[in-house]
Amino acid sequence: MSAFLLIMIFIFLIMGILMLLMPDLVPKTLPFGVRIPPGYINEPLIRKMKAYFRIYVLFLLVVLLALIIFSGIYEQIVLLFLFIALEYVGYYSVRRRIHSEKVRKRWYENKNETLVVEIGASQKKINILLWSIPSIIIILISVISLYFVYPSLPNSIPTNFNASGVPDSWVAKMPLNASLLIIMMVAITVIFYLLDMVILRSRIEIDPSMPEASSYQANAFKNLMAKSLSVMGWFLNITFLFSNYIIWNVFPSNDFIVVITPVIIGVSIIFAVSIYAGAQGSRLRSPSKGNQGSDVMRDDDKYWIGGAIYFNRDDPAILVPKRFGIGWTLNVGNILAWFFFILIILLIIVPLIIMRLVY
Amino acid sequence: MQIYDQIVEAIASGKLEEGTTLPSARRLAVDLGINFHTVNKAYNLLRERGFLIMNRKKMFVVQKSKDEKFIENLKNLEEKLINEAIAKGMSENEILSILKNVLKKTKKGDSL
Repeated sequence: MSAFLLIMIFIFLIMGILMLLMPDLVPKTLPFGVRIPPGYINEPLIRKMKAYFRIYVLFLLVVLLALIIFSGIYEQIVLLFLFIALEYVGYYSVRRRIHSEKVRKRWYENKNETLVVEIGASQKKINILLWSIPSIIIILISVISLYFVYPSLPNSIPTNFNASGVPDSWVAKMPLNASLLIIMMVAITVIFYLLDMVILRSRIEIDPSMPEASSYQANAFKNLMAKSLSVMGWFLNITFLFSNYIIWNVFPSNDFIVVITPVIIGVSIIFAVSIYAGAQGSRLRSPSKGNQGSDVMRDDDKYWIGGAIYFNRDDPAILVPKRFGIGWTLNVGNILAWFFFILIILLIIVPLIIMRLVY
Repeated sequence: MQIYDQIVEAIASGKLEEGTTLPSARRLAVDLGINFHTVNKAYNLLRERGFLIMNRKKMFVVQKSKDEKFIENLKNLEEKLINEAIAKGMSENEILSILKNVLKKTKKGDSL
């Protein structure tokens, strides 16, 4: 089995398992992206839809896994996109079913819709810079290693390796050529720093029926996710450190699996944290239960295009909690969100273009 | 206007104590998912009417000050309402008990 196929299987399993668990990871008042009052969380329809959705995803996962084993790299990538698209189709139809029931039976009628905000931070935010230090250290290690290794580097540096780990293209030895991956590492560290910053500043959704508990959960979740992303940054940097060592020919192994393992560990950590915490921390236990209110969250279904894309021109938020999933998504109605998105893309693409130009 | 009312109510019920710094207009707008200018308008109105003052960092802080103008306004308003109540044939005790109930409810702060 090729390393690529193993990674594909890993991706399919992570995505599939996450989707199988998702109906129970999201807040109970937001089943399949439909905002419902707490009184309706045990509706038989919702239970039925959860079961349908799970059977559907499981079926997709099994069929597609069987298919990718027998297909080439390009087909595998196409199948991955197909998997995402079909998962969305399943989500969309289940969501529509619940939404129409909600509208038809007027679940939101005579409910006092309220927005709750926190005045002053209730929990200490993590120090992002502190969490970036390991990444910075790994970059420094790369720089120092390069400094010592450079004089002994051969006159051509490998830039590309074929599937069996044998270099198949080279560039001339120059300080810039030898340190390109370090530029990439700096870009990655900056990206994760920015992501953490925006996440920690993003809003939390407080449920008026349990304000203290939901505020605790959401704040704890933000801190947890910011930490996990920082850790993901460390592991990505380790992968690049390994790649550097291979390019500089100081690493004993040039096995693809060794290089990619840190990334797999990083992804696994985020996966584990997601399942442990639930969307917006809905599975975290708040130390005190706090007040119970009779008000309900605002019915905000109308801002979600297709239940997946958030569009609200009046909302100054850049990132909002995902509707059905763990993490955040952009407010497409906000021009600032586009700037943020473009900034991140540039941080990825510019180093790649530099590499392209040089190689 | 809802923001204005809610903040006044929170101050009345003691949920927002004197000296509490409110989040910046931008922050509150993000938290509520509403237009920044809406929040700004409410904050400025609250400041004009003496519920908030701006501190050195340009943040709005809750203050409780009984200014002359407000007391005068309140008197006028009450006079008008009480006149109307008497014209409707309500007794002094009826009016007083309603007022007391409203005061009690506000202090407990059973909303927001």
